[in-house]
Amino acid sequence: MPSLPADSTADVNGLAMAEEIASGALPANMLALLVDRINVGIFTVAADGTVLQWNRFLHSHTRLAPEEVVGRNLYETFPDLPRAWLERKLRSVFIIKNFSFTSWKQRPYLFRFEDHRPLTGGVEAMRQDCAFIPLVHDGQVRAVSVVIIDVTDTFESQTRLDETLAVLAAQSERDALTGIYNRRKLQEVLDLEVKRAQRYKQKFGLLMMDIDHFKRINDTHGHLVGDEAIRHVAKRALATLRTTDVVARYGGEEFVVFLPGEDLTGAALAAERLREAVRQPFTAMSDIPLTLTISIGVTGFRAEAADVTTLLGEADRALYASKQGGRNRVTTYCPPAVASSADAK
Amino acid sequence: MTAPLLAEDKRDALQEIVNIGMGAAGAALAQVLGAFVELSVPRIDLVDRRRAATLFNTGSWSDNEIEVVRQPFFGGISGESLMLFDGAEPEHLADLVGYAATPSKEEQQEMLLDLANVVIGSCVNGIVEPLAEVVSFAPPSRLGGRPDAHAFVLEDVGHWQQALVINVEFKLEQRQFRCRVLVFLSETSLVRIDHAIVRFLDALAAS
Repeated sequence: MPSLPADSTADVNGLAMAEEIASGALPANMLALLVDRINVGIFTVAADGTVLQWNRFLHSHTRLAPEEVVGRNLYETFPDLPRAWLERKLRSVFIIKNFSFTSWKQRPYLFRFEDHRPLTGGVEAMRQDCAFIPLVHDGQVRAVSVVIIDVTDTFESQTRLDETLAVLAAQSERDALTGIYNRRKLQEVLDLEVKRAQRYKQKFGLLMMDIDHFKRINDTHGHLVGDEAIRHVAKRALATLRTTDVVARYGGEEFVVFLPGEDLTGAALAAERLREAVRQPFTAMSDIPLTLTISIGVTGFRAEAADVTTLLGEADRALYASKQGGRNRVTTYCPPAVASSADAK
Repeated sequence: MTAPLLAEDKRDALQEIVNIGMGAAGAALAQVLGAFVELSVPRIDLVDRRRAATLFNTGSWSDNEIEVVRQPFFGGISGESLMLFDGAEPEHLADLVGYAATPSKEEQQEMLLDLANVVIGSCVNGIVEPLAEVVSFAPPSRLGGRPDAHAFVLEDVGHWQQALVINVEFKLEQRQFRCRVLVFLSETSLVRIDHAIVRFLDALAAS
């Protein structure tokens, strides 16, 4: 192990130094040196805007030495500073006598410094967190020190994280095969829309639909064609419906459509248009002519059917009726209230 | 643990200290904003952790989104303060805090963080200074602006069972601005607060 030259520390008396600092004999040299050399920006300003202190970090980044800044007005030396805001911020520290802060998230920087990593950075300006520290003496705030911390690294990783999360969020709500919303997103949309419809007394229609004889398509042409059949329905649905409608893949060959603003009649009309659009012939895998049909069940939001599970159940029952009735058709759910009032008569 | 702060005379003393401290906080806010600030009588509750979420009920508030800012403090007495703003877009306060008339989203957030820092700082200092304690503050940060603000309180986080919560509402009548400050004094601080109140009462009796 390499050893230090013995004589370099031999005559150091740490205890004596600590006493010197405690008695006030050393601080001017040592603590001021620390403030000057520390790897964060520190400047101190009086209530009238005169700069009292300007450390080396700031000297290096502004290329203005203390002689050029100290004793002069901050805003005159740096006309690019957000003066109105900064004056108020400092004034509040003088009044309240308490710390104040800024974050890069809201204010990217106080001073515009070039990012000092031209090779690996790729950020146009250093991101800064600032703390405003009141220097209180005899119960009075004599000056305010501003500490500027380089948080460009944090900014970079946060930006990367945000981008990744945005991609993941988009992926997590889409069905991989068709690109339309998946069941999870549908549930989210419906939960929100049921609340909205309740609160604002709005209406909406809900369709549940299913490709007829899907198993036969798979068995006859293989699963790749089956996949194309599913994509075909999604594509036709997107082309036929309004942009405000929501189409989601609910299960294997099952889809759910949310139709804002529609009552049962309007929803049934939309379902009929959709059924008609899907049964137009198309070509799968470049050379397989196909015609397929769908069965649809229709229901709509009502005050007495004000939850997602109930509505999906109704649409499912109507869909089942379409299947029973011979497929390739639309059935509208009949609320039981009508039936029971008929019974009462 | 039994709650040391339930003793009535100490509770009264703390309520008195808090009333004065919050008054000072209101005055500080008024001075920074240059506007008249109204505040409610501060409420002090010993809150069980399972009930913490109910503190976010803002029954009388509008349907606006709520913006929540948090700021931890630490020292002999430590805890966390939350500030709930009625509405997340304080553009009508912009001129009071030195912003352009139509502040950007970031500027609006900064306004709320700044207001929270001022109000929380004076609230907390107003409580701990009479008790001869000193605290430091971490920077305030946004918890976001979802209407279900109680979702912010993590039920499975931390080790506390009870906390002392000081709850006060500030209003700027002419600006339709309203906010609420919740100061959570952590369980570990309760004993220290209890002792500080005893010292405070002794000093009062001696003078």
